Amino acid sequence: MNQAEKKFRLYAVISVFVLLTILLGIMNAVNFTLASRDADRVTEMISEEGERFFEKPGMMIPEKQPMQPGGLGPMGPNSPELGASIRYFTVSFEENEGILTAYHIYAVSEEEALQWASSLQKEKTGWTRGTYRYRVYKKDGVKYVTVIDQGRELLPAYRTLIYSGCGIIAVTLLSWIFLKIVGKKLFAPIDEADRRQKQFIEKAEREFKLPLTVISADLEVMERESGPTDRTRSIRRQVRKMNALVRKLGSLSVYEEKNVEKSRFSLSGLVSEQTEKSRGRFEKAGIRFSSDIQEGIMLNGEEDSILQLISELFENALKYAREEAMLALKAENGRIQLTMKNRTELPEGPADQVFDRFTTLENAEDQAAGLGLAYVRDIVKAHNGRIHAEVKDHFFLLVIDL
Amino acid sequence: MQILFAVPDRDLLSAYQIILEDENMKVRTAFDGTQILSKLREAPCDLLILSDDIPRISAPEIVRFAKDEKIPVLMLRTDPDRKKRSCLVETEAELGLPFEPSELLEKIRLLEESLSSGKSEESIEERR
Repeated sequence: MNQAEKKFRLYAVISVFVLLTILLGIMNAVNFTLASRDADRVTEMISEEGERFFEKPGMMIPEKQPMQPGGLGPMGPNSPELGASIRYFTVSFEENEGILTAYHIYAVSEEEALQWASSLQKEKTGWTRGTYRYRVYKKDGVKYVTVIDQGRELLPAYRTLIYSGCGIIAVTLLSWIFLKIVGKKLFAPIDEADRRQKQFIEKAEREFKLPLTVISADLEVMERESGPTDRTRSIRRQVRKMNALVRKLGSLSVYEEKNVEKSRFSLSGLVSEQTEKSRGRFEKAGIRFSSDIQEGIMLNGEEDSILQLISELFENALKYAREEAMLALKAENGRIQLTMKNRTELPEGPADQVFDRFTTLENAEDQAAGLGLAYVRDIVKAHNGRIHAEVKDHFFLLVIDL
Repeated sequence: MQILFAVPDRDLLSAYQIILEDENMKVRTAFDGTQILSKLREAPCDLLILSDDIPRISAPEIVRFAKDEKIPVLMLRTDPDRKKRSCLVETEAELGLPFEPSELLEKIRLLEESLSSGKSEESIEERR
């Protein structure tokens, strides 16, 4: 199963989840807002009618009228039954003394009602104890607090909320399962194209190897028989370039697999060893090379490829560093950092494009195929690390975090 | 040094015959597995340079035969893939394609030294 498919599945399912959540979220928000509004209308009616509210039928229909056939019956605050069905209590406050002026509720005792209303005096309107709506208002200089029970009215809204939540989870899960099943078919053409590309690279690589080896050998024979000439030297240089390219191509196609056999080994040891081996080459190239390697750093990874990574960093430095190059390896809080600094004349700024295949920053001379750092990046990625390049203070910096 | 050079490419065979003889080595060549075996039966050699894509008889079989005859093998690898490589037999030394004559000569020299001093080149080569 490839990376593209996994990513697609993840993003698709996240989109489904987010969209559903937004949609149902808005729907539920509107639901509760309307419930609040309906409740406020009732408390308003109570505030206007006072005690008469309880006995009197709904304001909208002053007389009984014959029922209209078909259609829905009256709902919510418009219902003429409102007065008979609403459960509430009202407390008046005169000089901070609370008197129960209306008491049509079962769930709350009279003392409780008085206490409850006292605690709400400071607010204007809102929900209290979850399913009760209240309103604070003044009439003829007296403050009143009315609390109505909306438990039955709110039940459908809460049910909808819960069903929405369950629905979102269920649909998200189902889409995940669906995509998992369908994914293979969907991605089969991409997988096929991927496979063909890999096969082609491998084939091309194979087809190049033998001829290059033969050309090298024939060249050698010619030079031994008739002595080296400028032309034979030129052919040799070109063949060397192609050899390097082919070797890298091969390693790259292996790395795209991202399947790495890991083992624990001493990174400090490996880096130190390679540094010592390469010192001579730096000296010969006239580059002052210094290193700062922290001891005892272990890494869980593929030793061979890390070795190639280091060797590639050195090759890069040997090619491009002017006068000075530095290597540092340190570890802090479980994060390992390997830094390569090459003195350079390049302009300041980020330089992450060096990791693109076939890109070189300077006027590349011989042997630069632009593949080396792309290879380094692949190795870093295969080890779940990060790599970054920039030019700072006349130094080209390569920072690898593992 | 008696060398049997076995790769499935005539151009390569003829070029290396000249190069290796120029280096004072005695060289016989073979184009496929059956030729290798028949030449080794005629007369043994000091070193077998074998390409892993040799036809007719598979490279691992040839290597096993060589091991039995105590003939060291320098394997020329056409495949860099570690996983495929690991199912092939370990040899005293190996060299990946493409390579230049100087690299091959260096390998032969190193092998000669380590064989004459008794230890296997594997321990030197392992790091690479």
